[in-house]
Amino acid sequence: MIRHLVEFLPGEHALFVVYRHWFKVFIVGKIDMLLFLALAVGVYVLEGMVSVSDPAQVEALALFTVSLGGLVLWMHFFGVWTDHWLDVWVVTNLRIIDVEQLGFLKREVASFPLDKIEDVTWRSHGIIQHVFKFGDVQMQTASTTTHLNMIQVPHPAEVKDAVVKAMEAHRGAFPR
Amino acid sequence: MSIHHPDHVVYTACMGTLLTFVFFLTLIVFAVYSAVMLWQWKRYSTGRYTTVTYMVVYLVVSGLCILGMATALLSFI
Repeated sequence: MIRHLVEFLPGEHALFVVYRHWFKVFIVGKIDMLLFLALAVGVYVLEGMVSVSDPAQVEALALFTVSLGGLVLWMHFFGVWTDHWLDVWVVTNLRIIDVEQLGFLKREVASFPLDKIEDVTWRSHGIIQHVFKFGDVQMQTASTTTHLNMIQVPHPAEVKDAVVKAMEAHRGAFPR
Repeated sequence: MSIHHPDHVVYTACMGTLLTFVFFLTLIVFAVYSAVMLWQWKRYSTGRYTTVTYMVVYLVVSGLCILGMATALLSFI
């Protein structure tokens, strides 16, 4: 999978891969499910209120609406899930590669050499991130304008430690 | 023998046309959207069986929704 996402340089190999935390997908799934239930209940209530000569057609219209709503929400959920799954950070022995999926057919890939990263910090903000153990890892590069942010990653403290270890190993292998 | 009011016949015909249009439009959007999404899953998947399982779940539930729409549509045609 990684080889499809990024092209490695000669002598480069992946140390670890960081995916986003599942919390956002979980929330989107719950919202989609609630919307579907609201639609189904709403259609059922409206169906009972309408008085027409052919109740079978009202039932058919209700079935059509609920099926259409269900399909749209189902597609939306899997779209969000796909986007989540394809946002990835690959830490190699030479650099950190940030792969961001923007929509279905647009993908941005940026790479940050390990020797250009100067400071690594992590933060977990709010009770939800503390409870579910996720947060952001921020890396400052030598450039004042370029920062690498790993947003909503699981166990940010461990990710930060692993990145620092990779940086130290890189400095040991390629001293300035 | 049931005799329908002319308004009812017109309503059924209009609704049938509208739902048929919505149905086929949905089918086209679904086909394109799913083709792109499944291609991405196949290309970037980490585990073969996991991906196949997700694909089957996605397609089965989507198929049920489309079946529901098609069944409902038959009442108007």
